[in-house]
Amino acid sequence: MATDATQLAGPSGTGGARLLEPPNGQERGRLRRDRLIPAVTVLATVVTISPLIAIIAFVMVKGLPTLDGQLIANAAGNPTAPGALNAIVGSLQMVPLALLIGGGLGLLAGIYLSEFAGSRTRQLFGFLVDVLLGVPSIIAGLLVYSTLVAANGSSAFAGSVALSVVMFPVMMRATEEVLRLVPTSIREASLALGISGWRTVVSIVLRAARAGLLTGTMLAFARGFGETAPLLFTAKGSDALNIGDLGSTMSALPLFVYQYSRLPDRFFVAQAWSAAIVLLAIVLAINVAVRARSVNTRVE
Amino acid sequence: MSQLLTGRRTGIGDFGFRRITLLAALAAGGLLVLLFGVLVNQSWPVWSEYGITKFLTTDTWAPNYIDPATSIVNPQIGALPFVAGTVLSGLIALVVAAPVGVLVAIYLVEYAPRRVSLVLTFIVELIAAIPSVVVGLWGLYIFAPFLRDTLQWYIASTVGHVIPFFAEDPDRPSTFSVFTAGMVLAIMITPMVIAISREVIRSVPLSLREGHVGLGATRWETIRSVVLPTAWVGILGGVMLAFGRALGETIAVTMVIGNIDQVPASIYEPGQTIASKIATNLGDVTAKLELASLIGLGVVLLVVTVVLSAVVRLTARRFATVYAY
Amino acid sequence: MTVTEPRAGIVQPVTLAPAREMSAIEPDLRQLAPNEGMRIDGLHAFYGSFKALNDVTLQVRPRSVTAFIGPSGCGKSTLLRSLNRMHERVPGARIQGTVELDGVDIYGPAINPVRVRRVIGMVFQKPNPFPAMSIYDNVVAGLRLSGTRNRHVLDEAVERSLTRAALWSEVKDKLRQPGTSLSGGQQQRLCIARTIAVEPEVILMDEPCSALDPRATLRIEELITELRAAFTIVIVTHNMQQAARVSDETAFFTMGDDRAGYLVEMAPTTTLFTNPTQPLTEDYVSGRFG
Repeated sequence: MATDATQLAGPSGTGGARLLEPPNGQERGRLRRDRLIPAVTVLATVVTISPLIAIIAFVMVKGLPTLDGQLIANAAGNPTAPGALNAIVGSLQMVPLALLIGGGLGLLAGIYLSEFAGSRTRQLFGFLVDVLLGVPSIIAGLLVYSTLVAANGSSAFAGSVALSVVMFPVMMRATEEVLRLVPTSIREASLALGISGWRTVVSIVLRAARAGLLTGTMLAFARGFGETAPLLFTAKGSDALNIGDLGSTMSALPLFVYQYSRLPDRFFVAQAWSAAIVLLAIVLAINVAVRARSVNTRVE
Repeated sequence: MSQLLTGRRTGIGDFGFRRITLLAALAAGGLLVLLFGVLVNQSWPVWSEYGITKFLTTDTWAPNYIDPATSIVNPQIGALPFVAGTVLSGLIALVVAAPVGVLVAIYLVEYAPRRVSLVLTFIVELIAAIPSVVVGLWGLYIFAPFLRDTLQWYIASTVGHVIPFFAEDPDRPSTFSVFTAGMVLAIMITPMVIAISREVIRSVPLSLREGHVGLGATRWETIRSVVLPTAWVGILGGVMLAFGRALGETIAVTMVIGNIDQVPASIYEPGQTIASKIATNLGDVTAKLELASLIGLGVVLLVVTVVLSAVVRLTARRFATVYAY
Repeated sequence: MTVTEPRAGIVQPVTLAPAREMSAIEPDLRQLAPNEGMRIDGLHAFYGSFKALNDVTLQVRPRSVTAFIGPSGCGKSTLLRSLNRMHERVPGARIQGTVELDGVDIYGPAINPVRVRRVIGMVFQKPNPFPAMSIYDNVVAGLRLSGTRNRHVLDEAVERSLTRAALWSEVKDKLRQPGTSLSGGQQQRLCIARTIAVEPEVILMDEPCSALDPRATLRIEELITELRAAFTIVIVTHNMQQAARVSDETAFFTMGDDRAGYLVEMAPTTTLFTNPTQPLTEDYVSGRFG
């Protein structure tokens, strides 16, 4: 059996010879580059991931010492032992309200796009939603400031409205995409059974899509929970523990972090770090809960 | 599938439901109209009396300026420092985030084992989910000083000797500057570049890759000669979207940019973006012209981001789902 | 020349290609030496734990057309892809056994798969010209990979390859246009041109005409019989008549009970179609199954 290139027979015999030729400089360079590139991409990946680790680590290191009962149980207005309860409670009021308004509208709008709109309409609205998604959140705050706040003064309600401006296109796009994944056959079957149009959508289609809708809602909530800019001039923040009075200023967790981070007093800066832990934990927990499940079910 | 339900009006319920959802959808259009309408209206003095060209080219911001000699109010409303700051910080972010993001996307699609790719994609999405105030806080106290003593010092002492734009005063380096803001922005927009690039690269058909490999190409050669050229329009769209996001980011930038109203002579000088200017000033402003000017700044930002989104949508229609952002 | 199966109720006319008479080289069907052409010995192919091919042993004659035929799913494409080490690109895919070209094991430890694919080229089922490249760039893509930059050399190679692929006259005035601007049949000839531009020893073709209309198919078949003079060609086809028209030798595969493909019979084409030794072969070529 000839394995030596010089002994090859056959009409040309050059195939084996070409295979056995040692690589020339050019080919060696190609192979070197081919080995180098994956390393470069891995490096880029490490560089991208490290800020996440760095942020979580430093927030923990800086914030854990002051993360105590005082922070969580007391409002900032407490003269002897100020905390961030007003901020926590404020977020827990404004964000759900914003979800109701903006998320609710977005849900309905998404239903229209998915269930009733023709393809040209859907294209037009798709364009519209893309544009809205690109609008900076401070502009949403600016809009509400120029209207609601100019008329009635700063209020938690204005803050919620500003947040809902941000959440509306998010929810509208998420709803449309999730509902489009529901197979047409489900709708057809329902209609064939004589179930009327709107009941089909509500009882059948929405039900079939409920997992995806829940995901979208939770992610929209997490997004609204972490937003600061829309609240800066609408709800403005407040040291007082405000429960229920949506007509007055109210604090929120991101506002607390922002405002306290700029104070000269080191204790308050430390509290900003601690509040950041709470904020980060909540937002990341929601994201992990929602996305981790889809990591396993995702079809790649 | 919409055709199934279109035209079905079997009862009040149907009719009403369709009406309600239609109204909700129209709210999207209404919102955009409202945004432009209200903000342009509220900033009208800037456009009609002051003039848009003057607005965009003046480099001083003093809407309440009273000329000491004549005691006449002579407002200087210059958006230039903020436009410069916005564009500069955005470009710095882009220059870093675009190549890094595309490289990571290449790794996730072409090289990483499937499990690893899924986990890393998940982690990258988490980065995008971090509230910007937390990024800003970390940037303010940890990252900015770190950057100043490492990358900033390194670039300033090498390139900075040749190009003044990259120079700094070695005895008094700024911790907070346009550069700092750009780097923080880069961290925040990279996940977007990655997500969109990933989708686009993945969608390049296997048959094209095989065709190239079948000619005797290495994996990288196929990526470089076939995959990337086929994908580059979509990737560009993703990069542009990420740029738009960087232009509009407010809180993290406000916390690390130094907040000085000037057109920076070097990237290591403090500056101000449109968003950060609005964020720092809006609450204190009562004078009509000054308020109108700030809102005018907002209009500029709105127009730029809307145009950017529109251009991307019309040219490169590949988007990651909104779940990611 | 038409041969009809004398079986009741089953008439399967098998037409031997008139094109064969055009070819200058008559198939030389003498016994092959072990280091001639491609030798496959005891090849098993796996996707993970699933065995797709069972113990294939055959030899591909150089400077001829060998056809792999058989029902779908019996591993013909897997076998073909094992011949230029494309099979291993699927995660978890592997082979056992030997594949040799001119006596050299292409899976040998010192052998680079990149080199193998240069010497053993492939044309795919669906024409896949690179959309981001012009016709010219498509043809020279392989040459550029090995560092050829000289314009004259490239220009010559383009004309030579496109001529040999029977495409030159149709595209010589629009070489700068994108490769995808051609019709399906033209695209496939473009893919053939770029494959032969790097002067491989062997050209593997995986159902190259299945996505094309009959006229384009015929042109490609004519091309194959011409290319035979310079290249060793292995073609996988589910179209028996095509195999009968273009190939010198045919190998018939089918799926075993364990869902792995295996070689039933291999013989000179005329023999396989008119006088097969295996009953399964006879059933297949007479149209009883597949």
